[in-house]
Amino acid sequence: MLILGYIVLRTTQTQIFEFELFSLSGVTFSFTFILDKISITFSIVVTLISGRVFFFATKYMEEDPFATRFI
Amino acid sequence: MNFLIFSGSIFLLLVGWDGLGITSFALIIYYESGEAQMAGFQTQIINRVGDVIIVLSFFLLCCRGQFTVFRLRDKVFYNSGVVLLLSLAALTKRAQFPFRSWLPAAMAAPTPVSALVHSSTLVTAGIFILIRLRHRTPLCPTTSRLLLLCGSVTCLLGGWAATFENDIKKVIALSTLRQLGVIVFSLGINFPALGLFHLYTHALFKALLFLAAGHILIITWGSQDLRQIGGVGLRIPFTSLMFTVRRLCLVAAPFTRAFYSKHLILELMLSVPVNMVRFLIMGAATFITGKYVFRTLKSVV
Repeated sequence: MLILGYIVLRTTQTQIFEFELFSLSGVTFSFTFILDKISITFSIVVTLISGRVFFFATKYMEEDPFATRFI
Repeated sequence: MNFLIFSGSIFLLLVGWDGLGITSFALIIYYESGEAQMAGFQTQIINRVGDVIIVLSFFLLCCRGQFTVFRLRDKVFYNSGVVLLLSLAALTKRAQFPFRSWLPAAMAAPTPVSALVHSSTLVTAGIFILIRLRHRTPLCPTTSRLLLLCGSVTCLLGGWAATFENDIKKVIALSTLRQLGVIVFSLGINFPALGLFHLYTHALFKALLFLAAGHILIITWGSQDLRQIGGVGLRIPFTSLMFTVRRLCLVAAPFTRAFYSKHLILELMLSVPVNMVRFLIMGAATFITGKYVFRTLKSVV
């Protein structure tokens, strides 16, 4: 994932991974993943904030009786 | 959330979308109080409205014979209703004007949840879809008009409600509404790259603002009323400093992060043909933002 992200950010390429599930009446149902600059940078921001908030939550919720249910 | 970000087909989009809806519902009702349950159900119902609209767009896509999102930028889809329907679905997720009620209600959740939901995950999902859809091609005029209207009205309502709100978390939530309005407005005036830039800056400073608010709540033993938390600046100077800097960021004070994104959007608003009413609404919302931000600062510092 890191390597792919590095390639996409360095080379302005868009990588598309397509897994075809089935085809019905000429309509193809597929799972498609896109790796481009928008998705990679947005994923970095989201993961960074989620990680920081998780660290904050472990301290913030430590006295809560249901903390195990939270994390 | 990452599932939604990397999704290229409408199926994966719906999986990520529903995953966000379900986890946010579970997190909002964590405290199991009546208020939290009401807020959770409100969020859930509005998110289900968004799901219904996405499923409706399935039928239009079936007529075209493919479900990949990136081909929606093609000219074939320029005037079709798919982009309009997906924009409407995004309106529900990012709490714009007709569907804005769930965002302040979701404050019943614990503070870390608010930080996550309001800064980077739930509300930005809708905007991310729109930016993904219209990365290169402009939107059709109907969708642009819808976005401009919803963005400007949400800005004004969010700012107006925050001026009279005394709950510190709700003030921050309503300021989120106001910033989302700005991002939607930038999409409406055909500057998606600026919208994405403001989305990043907003996600980072709003997360820090919520975490600082969480620390303030610990110090004041859970009191969220702005009138009762005066003087915390002396007890927790570093958190108070961070809070102050981020509040200044919210009004785009010079040399803060939001200065470079928000000012650019507001400046470009002058250079594109925008309806005068929407222009005036945005101007009024900008003045109101200054008012409520300095009111909060006066209470905290």
